[in-house]
Amino acid sequence: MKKPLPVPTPDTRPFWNGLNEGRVLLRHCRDCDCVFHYPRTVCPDCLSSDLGWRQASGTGTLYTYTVSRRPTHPLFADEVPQYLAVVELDEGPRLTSTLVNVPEANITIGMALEPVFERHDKERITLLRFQPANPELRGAQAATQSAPATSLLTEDSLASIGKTGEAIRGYPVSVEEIRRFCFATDDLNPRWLDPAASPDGITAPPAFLSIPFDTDVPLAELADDGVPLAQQGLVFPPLKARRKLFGGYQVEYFQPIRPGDVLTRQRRILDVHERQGASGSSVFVLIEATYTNQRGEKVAVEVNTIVNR
Amino acid sequence: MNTEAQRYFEDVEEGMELAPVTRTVTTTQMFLYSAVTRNAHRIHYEEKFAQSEGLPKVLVQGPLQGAQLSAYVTDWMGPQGFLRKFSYSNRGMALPGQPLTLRGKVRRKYLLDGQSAVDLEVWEESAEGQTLVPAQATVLLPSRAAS
Repeated sequence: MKKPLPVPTPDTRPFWNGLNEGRVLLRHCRDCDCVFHYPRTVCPDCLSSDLGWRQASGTGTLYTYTVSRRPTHPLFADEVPQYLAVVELDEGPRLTSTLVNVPEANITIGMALEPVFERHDKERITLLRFQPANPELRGAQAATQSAPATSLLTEDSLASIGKTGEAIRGYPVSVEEIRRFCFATDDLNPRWLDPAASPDGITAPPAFLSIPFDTDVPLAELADDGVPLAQQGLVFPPLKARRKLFGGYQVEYFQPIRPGDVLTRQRRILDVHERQGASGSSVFVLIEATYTNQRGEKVAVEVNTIVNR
Repeated sequence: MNTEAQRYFEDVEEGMELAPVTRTVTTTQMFLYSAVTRNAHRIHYEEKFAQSEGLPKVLVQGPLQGAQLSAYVTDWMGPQGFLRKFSYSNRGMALPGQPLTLRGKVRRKYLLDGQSAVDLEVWEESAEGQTLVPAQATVLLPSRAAS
């Protein structure tokens, strides 16, 4: 038998996902502005169900603790003596956890604590433990156990969340460019190609959306791998990663695209978060793009996920 | 492959499978796709460079696989359908010359803002049956009742 691990439920999944990313998330009530833990669907203070999530600092103080010298279950025999603790987070809520990286003699009520994210990568679960915020109280064996994985984030990485790039106008959509795209993707649907088949005129295939923004750049502005050195209309978050990989794509369409349309694209950094995996750290950058046409109608909103390693 | 017949909301049932289609991306198609997307990334046309990046050979463009799945859905829905939402992720690499099969299933039919909508799960898999590109689509279909 293996040691049991928490099983996220729909109510608690964002909390566990947050721990996987090294963040402590607390439930936040939009009505009375309180934060609480454990996560539930109704605010314990005012019974509102208009709830969001807030990132907590993760630091707190020791509210109370007990030392368990006998395992509560045989599978936990390797963890005794276990320092079961109630930690009061700086934001107010208390949670039950265990203290690690601390000799018993150094534990005092009220001591400042910081989070330790204990990863179980295979099960995709991270446990939240705590250790003394003061490194001198951690004892000898602590250094090896708590060595944090190398982060690819820089001080400014997270500051770019929410930053909007300038609006860029694409080149006008033409019958010829639609045809070129259809032939290259081997999509011979008459809707995109044959005016006789479409009473309202042809439209572009949905995947055509970003084509008018794939602009030509002078050779001198291409890196050695053939990729443009700079992205138009958006400043990518500064990272210590070397490689960018295409992670995924999602899009919502609101209007068809027709020949003669001139689309405008506005991009925004939707999120930057880091995940530690078996092969090291990856930073996920989510870039949202909103497309409008020359009549000001919203045509589509897409999100590209770029994985940085 | 393109169906000109219209598909109506009433004709769709949850659990229904889409007819599979097998396609093989050639280096010629990859060249044309790189040209139309202004993509000069050398991993798509220079074998030695691709290998220096740790790849077995040149790699099929991820968004080309996405566009293939998008077209698979727009073929299925017929001329009056509207692709409302689409998402995909590239999980495994696809190489030129390798047969790729597109498959799909109807997950759910329902009303979305008063319009008859169908959620599809579609994916691209290798000859060995490995899912390379999982994708989800929501399409709006005309209703016989309304027409």
